[in-house]
Amino acid sequence: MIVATALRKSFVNAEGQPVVAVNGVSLEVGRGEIVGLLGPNGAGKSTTMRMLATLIAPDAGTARVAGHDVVLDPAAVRRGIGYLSASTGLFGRLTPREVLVYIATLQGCTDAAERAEALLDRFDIRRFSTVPCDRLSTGMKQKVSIARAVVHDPEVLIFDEPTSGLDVLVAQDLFSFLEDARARGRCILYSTHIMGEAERLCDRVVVIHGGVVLATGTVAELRAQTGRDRFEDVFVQLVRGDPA
Amino acid sequence: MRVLFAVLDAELRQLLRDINTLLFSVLTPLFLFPLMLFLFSQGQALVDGWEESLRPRVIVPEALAAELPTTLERVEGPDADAVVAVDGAVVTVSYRAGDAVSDLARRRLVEALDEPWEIDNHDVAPAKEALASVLAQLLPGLLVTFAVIASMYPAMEAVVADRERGTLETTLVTAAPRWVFVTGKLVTVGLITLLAMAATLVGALVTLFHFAFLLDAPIGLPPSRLLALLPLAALTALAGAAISLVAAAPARSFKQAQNTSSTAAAVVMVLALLGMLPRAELGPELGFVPITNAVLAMRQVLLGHPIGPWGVVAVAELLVIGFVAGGWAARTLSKEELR
Repeated sequence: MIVATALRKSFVNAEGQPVVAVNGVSLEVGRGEIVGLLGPNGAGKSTTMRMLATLIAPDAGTARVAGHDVVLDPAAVRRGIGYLSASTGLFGRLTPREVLVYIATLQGCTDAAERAEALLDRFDIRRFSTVPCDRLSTGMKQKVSIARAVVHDPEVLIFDEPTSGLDVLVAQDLFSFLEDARARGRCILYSTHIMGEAERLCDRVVVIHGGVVLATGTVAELRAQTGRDRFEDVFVQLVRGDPA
Repeated sequence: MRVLFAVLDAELRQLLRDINTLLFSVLTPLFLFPLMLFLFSQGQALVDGWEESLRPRVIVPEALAAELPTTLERVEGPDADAVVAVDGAVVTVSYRAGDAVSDLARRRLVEALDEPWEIDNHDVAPAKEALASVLAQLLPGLLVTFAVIASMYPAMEAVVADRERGTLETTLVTAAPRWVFVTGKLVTVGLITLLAMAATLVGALVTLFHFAFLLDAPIGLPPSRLLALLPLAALTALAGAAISLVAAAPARSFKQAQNTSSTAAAVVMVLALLGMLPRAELGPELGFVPITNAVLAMRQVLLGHPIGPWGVVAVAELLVIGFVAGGWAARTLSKEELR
């Protein structure tokens, strides 16, 4: 469902110097699988996810998402993905219901209103469905954002640090939604800084640093590879290269 | 089309629920002229009342003392507000121009001493003609000015604020093609601009009707001429929206957009003011100047005259501005790459 091969992306920084954000990243995520993309700040996680979501074009490499090439057929990719990141905003003066109907219509759903109503119940936001999004709490906004990302029931979910700023209860709701989505055969790429989330949710993790993939495997495989028990220690060792 | 309407609907809801947009694009153009008239008339009444309560002191030779009105007090000595001297047939009034009381003394003296001729100014033009002429002189320039001012904020809100809030990303990650968003934004800003122009028109007409009531004269502007103005006003709104969008589209922050939009608005306002000059005419001198010729063409329509070939040039230029600026904004936005 997601197959990325040797993706590369560079930017020009404030000093006018080219900076390589992603340098040859390859990864695969299959149907009914949650793959965690882990890495410190500036590792290249978000850039990789944005390339997969067709928001930015890769300088080199290829990627197929939901069966379509991200460069050759970005519209088809966008129809098949649900993308959520910290910088994806909500329309502050629209209500959650209006946002969901709007995005469902943009995604080509002919039953936009019905989908919106179903998601208002699924994410327990019906009580706030007529309140402008600007007036919602952080957790409630994130619930609306998640509902917005999945309103067209996409095959692939690309979630970039979706739990940042969320309390435990809202995070639990998100986890249960993602576990349910995995059970329904959805393909999920999930980035986080919280190792506990990765341990709980992810079938496999991809550790990335400096735009390069350092390790790939299940949590158990990476524990065995590093000889560390706590997953945070596993991560630190992989990123810093500390000896076991 | 369904998707385009959805974008239009969402953009309009967003903008019309924004207090700043309502303030800039609806309330200000609607209430500015009536408010100015109210403040002006209140201020005038205040000044009139104040002047009525005053009795300036003047030094007047004995020969003119009998002609002095009761609103002036004849005094001797250095504290007078004005001094009158007679030299043969010439009467000299000495006063201090910066002193309101001294100036009032002068005006009352001139009024009392303007013998042997009393001049009665008599305007032979019918009152309704005068009002229509004033309206035709001022309204088109005001419409264009407000069109640009009113489109600035919605354009920045629709493009830059959308980018800053991350909602541009939210829409760009959907399957809908980018041209739909660009068209939706252009039409939305155009509609808000048209709304601002309608509000300007209503505000100006209310003010004018009030003047007409005070002067007890008909307004002299048939509704058909106002209706005839609509196509030109709509074109101007679209061109104004396109200019504001092209000014806002490349900006990476609201502040940057304010700078570029203010500059663009200032240029348009200067061109509009040029068209408001009393001697400005829709001819070879100004016929090629964009915006100015649109203002002058609107004046022709309001006066009930045909717009002529130069009016056609004005319409063509508005279309070109709309397409070129709109196309440029569309190009900038469709190349949007989000980091």
